Amino acid sequence: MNRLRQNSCFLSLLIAVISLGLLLIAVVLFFSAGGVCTNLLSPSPTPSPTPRAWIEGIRPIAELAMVKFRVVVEVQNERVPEDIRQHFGAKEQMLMLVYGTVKAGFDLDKMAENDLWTDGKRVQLTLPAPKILNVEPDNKRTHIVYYDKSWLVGHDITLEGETLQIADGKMRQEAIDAGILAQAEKFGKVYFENHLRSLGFTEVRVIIK
Amino acid sequence: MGNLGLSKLQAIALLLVVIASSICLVVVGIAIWAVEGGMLTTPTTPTLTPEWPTVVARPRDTATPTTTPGPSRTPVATPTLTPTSTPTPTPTPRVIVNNINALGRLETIQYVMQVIIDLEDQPGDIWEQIAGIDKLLLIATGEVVAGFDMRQVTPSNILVRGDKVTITLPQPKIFYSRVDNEKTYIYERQAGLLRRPDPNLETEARRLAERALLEWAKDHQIIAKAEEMGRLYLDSFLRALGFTDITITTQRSSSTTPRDPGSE
Repeated sequence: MNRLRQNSCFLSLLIAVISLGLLLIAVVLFFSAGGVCTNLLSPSPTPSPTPRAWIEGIRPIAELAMVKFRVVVEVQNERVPEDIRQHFGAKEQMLMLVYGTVKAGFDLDKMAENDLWTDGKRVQLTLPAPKILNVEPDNKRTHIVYYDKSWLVGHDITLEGETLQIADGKMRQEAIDAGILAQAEKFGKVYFENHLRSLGFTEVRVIIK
Repeated sequence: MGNLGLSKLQAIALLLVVIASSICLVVVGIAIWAVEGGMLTTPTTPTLTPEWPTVVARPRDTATPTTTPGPSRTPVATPTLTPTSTPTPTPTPRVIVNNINALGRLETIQYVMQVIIDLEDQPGDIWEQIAGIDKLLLIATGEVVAGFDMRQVTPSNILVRGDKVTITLPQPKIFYSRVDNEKTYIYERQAGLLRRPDPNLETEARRLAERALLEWAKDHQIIAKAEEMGRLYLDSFLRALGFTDITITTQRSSSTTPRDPGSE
């Protein structure tokens, strides 16, 4: 009877140890998916030896950038799964602070031959309408302020790219709303008037289409 | 067991409960890991944009001035630019314009490039080795633009004598390198079994991509190209203004700068 008791005791202990082991593995797996381990790690990004680059095109341009607006935009973006997981509050969310510059000016390539008229002393220049030349994100200052992902969803590799695209659009729109095109027009007129006078023309007319 | 007041049967039942709950947790853990996409590898089909058509610089012939200056012009409405659609609407982003600067940059050349950035968090210690690596492959498309800062051209840099003009330009320079967010994407992302992907890794990869684009453009003579195209453009512009003898120099190549008010 004692032997039987000893055996069952040993068996119980063995099962308990195995159970605890399994429990430990399960807990680690469980929390790693939720990202608890991330906080314990301090990653050190290492790029691969040399980034591979190739050229897609070389384009001669003639754009005259007249004004730039520095813009900061705060964008929140999230991914919610379209299945049962959404009822459990499962989502991945991100808050980014995006810094950038919006530039406006003239695309001088759009000028036609008859947009420039002169008789030697007088000159008339017709410029195309000013436009947004580019939205340039400042990747040195742009950063993620807040990021969270519940353990029921995976990381969406398109989330940050999409957030940056939203930021680009918002920066562009904000610059337009703040009057960047009017500023570009004003500076463009002054710029060409000054330069054309420097070339010896006594009467200068700059018209913006 | 007797000390705890449990019968052998109860003890075995309790153990069975522990085992069953452990197995359940293991299954849940594995399921979550599988939902995560098995180390988060989500390969997407790379869509490489077709080759950029080379645009020939438009050589503007010597203008034959027309006698009547005022062609009737219908005012063209300023195009309203609409931002990219936002698939997941979240609270309205806050935008602040915090600085406005006047420019006078004549951008004459644009290099459009692609770069592949392979970035990973190397395990730093034994625990990180257990947790596994976090790596990504970013395919970035971007541009580098160079030209002349025309604000530096003062009347003293312009010399006019009849039909002859001499202009001294500042040295051409690179104005910016930019990653195009619309055409840039993560091709692959891998994270270790015990690790959540680092949200800052992609941001870092984009920074590296921008730097790589800049270096690559420098190595492929973007400055020389900018100078060549700038000269070509200004030459045709000045010819259109009626000048026949045109000399364009840059401050690097010319030792003497013409000293003349230039408003003859």
